[in-house]
Order: sequence, then structure tokens, then C-alpha cells
Amino acid sequence: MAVSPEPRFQTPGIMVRVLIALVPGTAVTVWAFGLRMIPVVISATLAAVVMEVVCTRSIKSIRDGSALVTGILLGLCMPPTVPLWIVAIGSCVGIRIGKHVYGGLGKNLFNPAMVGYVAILISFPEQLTHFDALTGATALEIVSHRGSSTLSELSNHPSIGYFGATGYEWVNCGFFIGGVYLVAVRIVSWHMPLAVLVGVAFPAVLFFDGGSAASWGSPLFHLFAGGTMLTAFFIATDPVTSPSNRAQIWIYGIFIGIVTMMIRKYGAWADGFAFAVLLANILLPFIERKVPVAKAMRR
Amino acid sequence: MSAPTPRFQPLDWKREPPGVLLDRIREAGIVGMGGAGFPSHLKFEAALRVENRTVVANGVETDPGVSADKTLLRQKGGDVMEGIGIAARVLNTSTCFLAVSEQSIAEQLRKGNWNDVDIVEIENSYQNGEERVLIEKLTGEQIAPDAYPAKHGIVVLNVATLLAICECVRDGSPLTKRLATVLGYDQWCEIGTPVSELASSTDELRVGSFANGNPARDEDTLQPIHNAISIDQASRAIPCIRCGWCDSACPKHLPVERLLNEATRSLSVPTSMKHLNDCNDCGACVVSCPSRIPIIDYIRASRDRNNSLRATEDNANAALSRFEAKQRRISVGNQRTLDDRERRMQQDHKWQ
Repeated sequence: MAVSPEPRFQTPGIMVRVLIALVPGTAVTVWAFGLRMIPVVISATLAAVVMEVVCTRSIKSIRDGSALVTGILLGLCMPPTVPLWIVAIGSCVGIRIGKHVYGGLGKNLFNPAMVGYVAILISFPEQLTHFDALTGATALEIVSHRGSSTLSELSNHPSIGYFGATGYEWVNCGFFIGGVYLVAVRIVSWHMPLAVLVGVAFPAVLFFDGGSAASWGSPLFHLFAGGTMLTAFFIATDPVTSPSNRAQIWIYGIFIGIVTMMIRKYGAWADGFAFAVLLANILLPFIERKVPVAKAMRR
Repeated sequence: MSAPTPRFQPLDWKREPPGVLLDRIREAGIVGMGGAGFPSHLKFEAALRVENRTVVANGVETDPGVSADKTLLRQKGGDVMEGIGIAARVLNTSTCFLAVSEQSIAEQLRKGNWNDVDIVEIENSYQNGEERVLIEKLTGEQIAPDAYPAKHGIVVLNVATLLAICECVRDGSPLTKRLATVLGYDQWCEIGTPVSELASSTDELRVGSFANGNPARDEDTLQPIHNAISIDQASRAIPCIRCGWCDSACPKHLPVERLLNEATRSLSVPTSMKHLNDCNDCGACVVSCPSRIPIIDYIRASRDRNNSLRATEDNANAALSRFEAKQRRISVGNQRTLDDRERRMQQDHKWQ
């Protein structure tokens, strides 16, 4: 007989399931980018957890698992060649400035992992881009800066895989599988990932003309390149910094997708999901104030 | 423990006229033991003004961690059935439902050959214990949220209430104890026992279920409406992570997360007042919350604060309008005095 009845999930339980869902994506990342990813992810996680303890001055605060998830997500965004101290700085900045400056868990405006990622992306651009071990450039950059060649001419390039970017396509598949698990156990409603993917696919379809020199790269390529799936299923769905109402979720998710695509095409960075998520975080209070609360969602 | 001494004359309810039975229920002071504490005889009297009457015995117990009503049905199912019979005789109807949430209880009671009562199994989902939801499931009739089912001829009584009705009519014994789930164990508790005597725990206690009970204070005693004494989860709560599950869980589609946010920041937003008053304190949000926040305490607190603010405002407005009326009276009076003087001056001039 239950003395103290338990809710369906508790916040630590949610975090544990998120960690389970990250397993396939992480495994594929290690397989695709090499064993160096393991120390990268571990140092990001360790730094995040240590920073959480330092900020809250309490060892108990890590039990909710949020710092763990933040650290792992940040580590998974990293290229394998990055120096570990940069990763640790990213984690510390993410936890401290991204979360505890605002008052800790639940009160942060921005996704802590993305704050940390963007901080080191801007501070150490050399180490965080131009890393691909095979070619020295990522597929997204190649497609973006390919000059006058058509997409079919690019298809033999070592960075372009079967349907996405080499390596990234399988990493994205891994995160997709984990994300589907999260949706299946109803930690995450399906609206948010779908909204982000629609936001990515819509401009890609709109500007795809079969692969001429001016086109954007195929929609499938964009869905399975860079951090698309990681963003859609794991980063945009961060409960603290995302809306919980259906209409608001659609606006928020599609905004992230479209801004990601705009940065991929016109921006200075190869992949723009981190900036897109932060911009959407800025937009969130506006969305929550202006978009009427429709009938509550059923999961 | 000695059996309670009968204070009333035992009645043979199958022979006595319905009016006598109703008088007995009124005299014994039976109140709803499901949580609201509404006087039962008022329900009967309201229903007697309507043509088609129905008795619904509510044995759907969906409070998480509470099993008092289920145990009661297992132990005293026959007495509850007699209570339904008494209610049916008072209402002069043959339409009786008993809704239970467990198959084994339904099977056990069906063996008792209570042919005039329709025993229905209801899915053990949190909202199904709410009387309007239950009525819709049983009869298909939809009762508006602000209407009383009794005014539609439907008398919904908790099974513990029916047991009390049966005992006060058949045995003449007053209500002195009830079955309550105390920290997970069902036990018969004398009504009026201090909560601190019934349960001792290092954690804070709640009177009622953890979903919609109230934090126990020192002077609290067990009342007929309390079906449980549980552990207060408030001390174990961690911050809200804005997951929105409370919004999804709310049967009235209220923006619970926003209300909680405003309550924790002591904001009073005019648009939220309607939502706060719409909340029926069911506690579904508390059950769904992954951070174990006692959302309902915050909602109640901010509702109380808003209502007292509104009362203060009403008082101030009333005082203002009294003041303005007085000013008007004075100015009219002044004008009258001036007019009067003018008139007299003119009168004075006449004799010149």
C-alpha cells in the first residue's frame, strides 16, 4: 500500500528518461566522430555538475538531473577536436550565466546548454568550426559556399553522405530514434519536434529546385544535417524555456526551424540552431503574452 | 472499544414512511463524507421537488493513496446497500446506481443479490469521482458546472455517507467514527480525534488526500469529511520546470501553470480572478506535477487573497459612493438654503 503516492513522473524521472533517449544518438556520435567524443561529453557533463554544486552550494541540487542533461547536450554539440578546457568553460558559463543568474532551475530565460555553446562558439570560433577530420569543412558549409556548382556535382564530395551529411546523417538518425522514444513515453508532446522539423523543411522545400547552383540543398539533407534532430527533440523541448500550449508551441518551433535555415543559408555560421533557440527564447515571453491560451493540450 | 450507545430509536426502514426516514437523517445531522460536507437532508429535499429521481452511490475513489471507501465497501458493503435502499425509499424511486472503481468489489457486491441497485464499474481515472462526471458516465445527463445535481433529481452520496445513513436509521446510532486512510493504512477513527494523535510522522501532515487536502495545523481534528491523513509533499517540492502538465491535467482547462507562477510571485492579475474562482479544488494538477508542488495550496491562497482584496475594494467603493451621496445632499441642501435666502430677500423687499 502506498504510504506516499507518487505522481506519474517526477522531475528526476523525466531527466533519467531524457538520458535514456540520448543513448542512441550519443553512441552514433561516438561511432561517427571517434572516441574523442567520450572525453568531450564527459568533461562537459562534469563541469556542468560541478558548477551546479558550486552555484547552489548544495550537493543535493544535482539530484534533479538537469545539470547532467545540460552538460551532455552541450558535449554533444561539440566537434571532436575541441580542447577539453573550452568545453568545460562552455558548461560553466551555461550553468552559471545561463541558469543560476536567473535564479536556478525553472527560472532561466535561455536554454543553459545553448548559452554555453554560443558563448564558446563566439569566443573560440577557430576551435569550434572547421573541424571535420576528413575535409576540414562541414557539409553544411560546403553546400552553403559551393559557388556555382550544382548539388549533383557535389554528391561525390566526401562530406556529403547518402541523404545527409557524412556521419551527421546517422547521428541525426540516432537522435531521431531517441526522440521518438521520448514522445512515446509522453515526456515530450509530439507537437514541438514536428514544429521544428516543419520549420526546417518548409524553407528547404520552398527554395529547393532540384539541385541547381542557386538552390539550398535538399530538404532531406537539411533534416539530417548538423544539429537538426538534436534541436527538434532535445533542445527545443526543454520545458523551462519552451511554451506549453499548443498554438504557442507551433509558433515557437516553426520559428526555431526557419531561423536555423536562415542562418544556414545567409548567416556567418555553418549551423544556426543554437542562435535560433536563443532567439526563440527571447521571443517566448512575447509569444506567451500575445498568443491566446487555447484549450489545454492532451498528451 | 465499546460500541456506540444508540441515541435514536432504531427504525424498521422498510415499513416506516419516507418522511420519518428523512426526519431521522435530518436529526442525525448526516453530512456528505466525500469531502464537501454538504448536509444530506438538503439534497433529499431538493430532489423531492423534481419528478424523476435517481440515487447515485459514489464509491469511485480516485484520490491517489486513499483506499478508505474501497475498504469500507469490502467490510460493510451490505450496510451501504441498505443505505441505498433507505435513500431510494426516501426519494420514492427505483433508479439506483452504485459506482465502484474496482472489479473485485463489484463482483463481491453482486453476489449479495441487491437486485434493485445497478452496480457499475467506473474506470479508475482521477476525474471520474467528481459527481458531475460520474453522473454523465452513469446516465448520460450533463449537469452544468454551476448547477446542483440534486436540483435535477439526482442525489449523489458518498458510500461512507450511505453507511452513516443506514446506521442512524436502522440502528439508531449516531455518527461517531469513520474509516480513514491514515498514512496508507485504513483504520476506524473516532471523529474529533486530534490529527497529531492519529498519525505521527517526521514529515508535515495533510488532512485529506495529498492532492486536495489541507496542510494539518496543530488544532486540527478528524472531521466526517476527512477521508485520509497523508504526508505533505510540500517540503519535498522542487522548483517548477514549466512542463505544463498541470495545464494538461486540469479538467476545467485553466492555465494552472500561469496561476501558480502568479501565486508564487504574489501577483494579482485581474484576468486570473475568474480562473481562480472557476477552480473546483479537485487537485488533478497536484497529481500530475512532476516536481510535487502543492499547486492547490498556492491556488487557494491566491484565491483567498484576491477575494479579500476584492472585498476591501468593494468596501472602499461603497464608502466612496456614500461619501459622494452625502456631498450631493450637502450641496443640494446648500443650494436650497441659498435659494431660500434669495426668496426671503425678495420677500423682504416687498414691504419697502
